[in-house]
Amino acid sequence: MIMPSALIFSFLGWLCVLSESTWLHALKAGGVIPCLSLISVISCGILLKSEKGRLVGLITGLIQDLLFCRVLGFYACIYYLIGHAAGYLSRDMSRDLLILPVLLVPAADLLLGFLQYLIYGFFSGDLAFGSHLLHTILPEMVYSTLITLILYPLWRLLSQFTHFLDEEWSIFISGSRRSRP
Amino acid sequence: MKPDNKRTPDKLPTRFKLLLGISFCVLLLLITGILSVTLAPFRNAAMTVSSPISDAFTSLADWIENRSNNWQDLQDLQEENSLLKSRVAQLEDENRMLMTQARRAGELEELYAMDTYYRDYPKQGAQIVGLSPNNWYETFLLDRGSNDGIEKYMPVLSGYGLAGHISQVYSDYATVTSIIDPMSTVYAQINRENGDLVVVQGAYGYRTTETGLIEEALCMVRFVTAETNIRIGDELVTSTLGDIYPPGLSIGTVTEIIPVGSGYESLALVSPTCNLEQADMVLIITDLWKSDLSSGDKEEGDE
Repeated sequence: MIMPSALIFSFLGWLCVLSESTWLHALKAGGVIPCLSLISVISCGILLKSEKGRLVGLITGLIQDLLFCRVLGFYACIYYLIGHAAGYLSRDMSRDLLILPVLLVPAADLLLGFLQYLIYGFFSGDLAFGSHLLHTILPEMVYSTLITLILYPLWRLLSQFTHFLDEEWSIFISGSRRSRP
Repeated sequence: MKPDNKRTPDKLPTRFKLLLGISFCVLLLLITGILSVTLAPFRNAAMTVSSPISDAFTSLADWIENRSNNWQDLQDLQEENSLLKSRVAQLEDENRMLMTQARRAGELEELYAMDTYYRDYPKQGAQIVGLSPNNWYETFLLDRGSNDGIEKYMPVLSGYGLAGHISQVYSDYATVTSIIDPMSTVYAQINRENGDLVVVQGAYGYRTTETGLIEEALCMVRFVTAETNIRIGDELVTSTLGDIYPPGLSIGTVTEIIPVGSGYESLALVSPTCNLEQADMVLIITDLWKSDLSSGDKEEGDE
């Protein structure tokens, strides 16, 4: 079932993907940009729980694939799993804790960076993983973690609003269904 | 979530759902990657929908880049400015030193030229180290004295002309009475063939009814109008009559002739050839013109 919150955060994920390809490049630090879509997916996984989190991840990843990748499904799969994992790992935690995304984002970024290295570097014959790790993956981890400190509170604020929308929506759905038979 | 459960009574376990999602993605990968199914319509649609936002974001990127570039430019310019300022200070300093050296070189060249000009007399350079306490060099102090072989009444040259003579000798210093000092008189000759002989007096601080107080570095010649042939522009040189100065040294040029009183006598103002205001090096002729001068108790001046 489609929930308003999933739609809204998918839309925001779309904006994040577009941001990564445009204005974020003006804010490069150490030659890297933060992985904004990944932060968004993890925040959604934490805030909306795993079910909606992985849906948002899937849509965000699909958009990224569709816009910037040669094949569909790579980012979709990864973000799908990351969105689910973020919700699953934080299932018993309070959403007010900033430590959750701050721990999850670097871990996921490291994983993503490694996968990206495999796809774009290793399989093309580039074996200098150390240099990639030092010059791309680690700086991106640090930068992404810093951006998380800004983005997660914003997303949390927004999720309070979408949570309210979700409730209204389920009441509306159940009401209409009850009146239907 | 109860309505949900009712609607889907055969609720799938999460693992199965996950597997479903992953297999969906893998299927997509296979379809698009291996079977190379064309995605152009979807991509076009996605691009078309994204392009307005993309454009807006791109202009945002430009704005940010401009701002950061401006800031960077400002930083660079400030850095460059401070660098250039220190460079300018350094160059100014160097320039000042070079100017000093050039001025000194010019003076020495002048002295050298003068040395060849008055080749006949043995000479010694000296530096002016003290002045009489007024604007003009009525008397001045040189850094050579009796230890250097300087004696009283030795003529002093500056530039191409006569400056004065040594009037007082100490062991390492000597004072010079310049030709513009009212106490100084020089026997001179008008530098023409059979030029008339005149007496040149220092005129600085001299007061006449015709000229008033003379406050310029000038000398003057008082002469009988009818008997002396002297004109403006005449050069005056030392004559053979003097006891102190050897003949042929340039004293100055007549710049003005003023009748005195009824006109029987006239006053010629003479601008000295030497430029004492700008000199700080002079030459001393280390040979007394008349050898008996040092032993004799002669008063200052030629008279």
